[in-house]
Amino acid sequence: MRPVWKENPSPGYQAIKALILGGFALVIVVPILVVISTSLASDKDIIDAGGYVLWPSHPTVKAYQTLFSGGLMGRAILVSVFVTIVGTAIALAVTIALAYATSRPVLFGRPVLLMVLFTLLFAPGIIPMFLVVKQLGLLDSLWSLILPGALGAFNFVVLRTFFMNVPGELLESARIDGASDFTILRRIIMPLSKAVIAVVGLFYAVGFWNAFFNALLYLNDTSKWPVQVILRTYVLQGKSLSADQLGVHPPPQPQSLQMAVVVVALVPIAMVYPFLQRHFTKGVITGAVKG
Amino acid sequence: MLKRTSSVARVKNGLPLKAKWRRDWQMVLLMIPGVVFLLVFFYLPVIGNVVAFQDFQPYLGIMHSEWNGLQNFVNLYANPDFWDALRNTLLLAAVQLLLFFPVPIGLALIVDSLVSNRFRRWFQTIAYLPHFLSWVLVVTLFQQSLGGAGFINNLLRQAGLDPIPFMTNPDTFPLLVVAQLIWKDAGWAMIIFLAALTTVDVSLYEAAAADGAGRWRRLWHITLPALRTVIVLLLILRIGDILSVGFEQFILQRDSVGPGAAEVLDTFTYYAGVVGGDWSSGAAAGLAKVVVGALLLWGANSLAHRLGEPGIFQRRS
Amino acid sequence: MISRRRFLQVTGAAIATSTLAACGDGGAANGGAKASGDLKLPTYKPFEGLHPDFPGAESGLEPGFLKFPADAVSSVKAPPLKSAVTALTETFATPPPPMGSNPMWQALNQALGGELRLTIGTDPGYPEKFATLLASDSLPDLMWLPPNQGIPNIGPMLEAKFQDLTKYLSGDAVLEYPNLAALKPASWRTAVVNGKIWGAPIPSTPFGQVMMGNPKTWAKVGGLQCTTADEFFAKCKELTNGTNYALEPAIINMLHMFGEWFGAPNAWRVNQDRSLTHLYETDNYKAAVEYAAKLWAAKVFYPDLNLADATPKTVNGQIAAQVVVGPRATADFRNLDPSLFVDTMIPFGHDGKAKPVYDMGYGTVGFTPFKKTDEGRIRELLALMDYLSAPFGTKEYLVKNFGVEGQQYALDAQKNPVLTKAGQQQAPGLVSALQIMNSPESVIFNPANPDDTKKIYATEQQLLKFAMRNPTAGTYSDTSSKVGPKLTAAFRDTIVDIVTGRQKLDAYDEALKRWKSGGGDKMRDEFAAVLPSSVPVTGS
Repeated sequence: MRPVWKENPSPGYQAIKALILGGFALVIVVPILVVISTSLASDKDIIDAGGYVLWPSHPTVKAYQTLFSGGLMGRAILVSVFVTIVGTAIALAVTIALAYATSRPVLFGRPVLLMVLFTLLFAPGIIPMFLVVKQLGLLDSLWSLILPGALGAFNFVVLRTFFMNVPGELLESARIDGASDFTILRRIIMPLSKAVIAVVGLFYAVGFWNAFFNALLYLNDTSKWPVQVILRTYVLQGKSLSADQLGVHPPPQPQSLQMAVVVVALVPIAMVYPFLQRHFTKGVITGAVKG
Repeated sequence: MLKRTSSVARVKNGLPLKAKWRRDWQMVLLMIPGVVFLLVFFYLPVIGNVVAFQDFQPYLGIMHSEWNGLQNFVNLYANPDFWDALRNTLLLAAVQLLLFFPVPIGLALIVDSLVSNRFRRWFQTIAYLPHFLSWVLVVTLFQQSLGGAGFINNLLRQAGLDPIPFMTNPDTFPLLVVAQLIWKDAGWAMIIFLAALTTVDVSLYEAAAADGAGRWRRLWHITLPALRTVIVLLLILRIGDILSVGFEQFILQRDSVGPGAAEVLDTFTYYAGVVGGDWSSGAAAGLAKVVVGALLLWGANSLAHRLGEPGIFQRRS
Repeated sequence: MISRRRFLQVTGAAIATSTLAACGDGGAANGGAKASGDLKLPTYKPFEGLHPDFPGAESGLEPGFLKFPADAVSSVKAPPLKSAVTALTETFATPPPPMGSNPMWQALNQALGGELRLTIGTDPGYPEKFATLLASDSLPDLMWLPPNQGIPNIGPMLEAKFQDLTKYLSGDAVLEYPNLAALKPASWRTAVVNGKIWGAPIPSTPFGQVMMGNPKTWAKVGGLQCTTADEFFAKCKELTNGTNYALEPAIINMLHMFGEWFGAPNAWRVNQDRSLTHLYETDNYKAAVEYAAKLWAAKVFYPDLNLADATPKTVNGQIAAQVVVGPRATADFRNLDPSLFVDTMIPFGHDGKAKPVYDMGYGTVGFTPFKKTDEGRIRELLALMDYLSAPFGTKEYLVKNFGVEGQQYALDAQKNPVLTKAGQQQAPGLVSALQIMNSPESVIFNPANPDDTKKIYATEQQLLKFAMRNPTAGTYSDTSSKVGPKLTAAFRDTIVDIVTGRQKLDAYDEALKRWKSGGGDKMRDEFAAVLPSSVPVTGS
């Protein structure tokens, strides 16, 4: 519905907007269509096209069948879903708590804030990280994929900034009413920051979904591997040694399989966003302040 | 409102520790999980960066590898390729900042101004999809369309024209890189601005419209100020991270345009350190980046304070 | 799609030429070069009881089999294991279903007499996995040591963490493990460092890269084979039109082929006075670079350097020729088009007179060292190596590569083992991981197209006429091990710039100067000092 105060759209503006958004959407949709088409293409389609297929003339789901035969992929998807959901939940809880606690001038607030900001600059090396994970007994456990990623400095900074922007009157009046800090966080801050929490949650979820390197290092048991590790082997396999003069080389995978892999990696996580969008409604703050 | 909090803060800060604890114990409690995570999964392993001052060998471990002082840094400083890579990195970062950074903001503003909710959702969902494609695939797709044997150049050839070397011209490489970045991540980066736009008080628009402010004045006086904090915040974060312009995107295209244009610090580190299993050189380059990043971060943040923005490191005052 | 293949062409292959040499015998650091002279390589005793249709030879010629030997014989007497063994390896196929739900793996364990617990690495990430295990002191019993993934300082690393196996394998001691005795001396040389043997080598093909072309494409210009570089140039120009191109854009690999035509040596040239000249220092290689630049300027290369896999384009005719790992790679093209048998280019002299060179490959994919342990365990692990190195055609080979008849494989009409549906799921990832840890000497075997075997065998015989081995193979240079990969990478950057016209040919000498002063000169001296007397002067 058009709000009463908004002008009627002029055809000129409309056209420009449509052109920009439509054009942007088009240059995205066509390549993605190529990915999907190729994943459904037959070997012949691929050879005729020399690689990528715009529209398969003999569509087949063979690539997907190959991908899901053997049971490895089904299990990996479950692992990834588990890691993503649990990881996002833990990471959100930890980050929200820390961001809120440092968003106001409290005891230890400043040193802790510095502690987090420092992590923006540095990255711990692979080997020391491995030693820590090993010492904690997390090797070969899915927690080794979840815990090290439970606090992202970028997400923390974003959340904290939004929390700081929550009108001070709201917090003061709640305090006067005797609300504890926990209550203020749960009843005021979080409802007011739904959109940004959704965004940060999405950032975390995507991070957990896409992560693969930790799994390679920390998990020896292939039955615990997440989707991304397996998908990568499909895309990269047969490439590494065949490039040099070493003789061992399984034949490269057909392009259709590689693209099917891309689609499988994309679909589950791409489905998350449309669900989050409903938190992106306007006027939440007005309502909250008035109510 | 800000004033009142700050006066309260000053009073609060004057309290003795015990009183502060009584007042803030819940907040401190909320910090504990995060702090524990930081200590265990960041500060403990980050000590491992001391290998930058060693000739580190995995089979000896940190305890038994030889110390070699600043040698790794001296090597870095003496290597002309390092300076080339640094120059390329700064150039590419500047181009990215100038040409990429505003795009998601613009997209968010247009999307936000859409009336049709259906179109809005439809566009957002499509726009963020490319973020999930790996660089390998993004570069490939660009090549399929813009490459020497790509779609557009084949059309040009059929029309009897000379092909245009979009993908292989070192001079236009920064533009290519930004185009790829926009394609892959503009829709994704737009989301955070959309979230910020939800905090705009609609009644302000109503009031402004009632006062006769047109769409541009409303954009200038209401929408943009609402985004200002987030824009500044992301800008600071980006500036602090300016020496990381990406690894995969560049290593994949390094051959096509040559290292003269495509060698950046991350790829330099890869060839100078990782290729030979030289962990120490890698760590030294990493530390050098930290110093630059910290300075830039601090500078950008101070500038933001001058402009009256909270930035990333600011007490609520 | 673009992938690590290109990535590794520049990096991995770069390492291949220099680090490969690094894991040869003799550690300059410890004066091991002398020790290596004293070392007796394991006695070579080929496996008897197999009758290939085309016999192999010491020269590297691979034996050819038209079909899988009927009534596979057994090559080991008893199951090798008494208890579980852990091993780090890498798979180049899709990871296998885990042991618990993989009947083929379970059957293998049963045959071995104990559990083989594999930690399976993938690409990318293997060197990191290797380094983390090493640094955290949680070594498995066995760890595959890849020669081309940039693991540095192999000598001191082996001494510090791994088991010296010399006394169990040197000379006749190896005869206790007949399948290991059937590995050729050339293969064993790659498992010798500092004059000690550190594991069983993992043979692959001894042949190096070749150029292959689609005969249908080349028919238009009278076939792939040429007698002069000018003829090749003319044919390439003729084949390039519209959206068709003559050559795959893998510049370094193509240069490798051109270098062979221009008589460039395999890595190093041994001069009359037994001094060494590096490939890059020869006029032959520079001439090849100039020739490649000429081809590039004529636009006969596919224009996108980033092309990852040219195979489909060679099959459909869009690209006429590409460089592949070796003469057996014809199978890759068969996979895409079962009716296609591609031609292999036989090197020729660039002017029709000079003698060309054919560069043989490294020959193995490294070796698998043992964690330090006691004699009983060493013998157990050696017995495991012996089992997993069982030659083509034996019962153990079937168990390792095909599983159990009736479950993972069945025999086709010609009595060749063929994976069943279950086998196709359980085998590839597991077999790849096992093959990368242990392998017998290679054979030519194309069960679906026995005729291919015959043709490849003939091609190999032709290539061997020009064969040249890297004279430093199996020797060690400290400098090469440390800075070789970086130097090669930097030099190759310049070459690619020259070929693609981004830099002038003058840049070659400048880059060569940097290569020399950056460590090339030192490398040459170190290699020359340990050059075995058995290595002939190049060209004689």
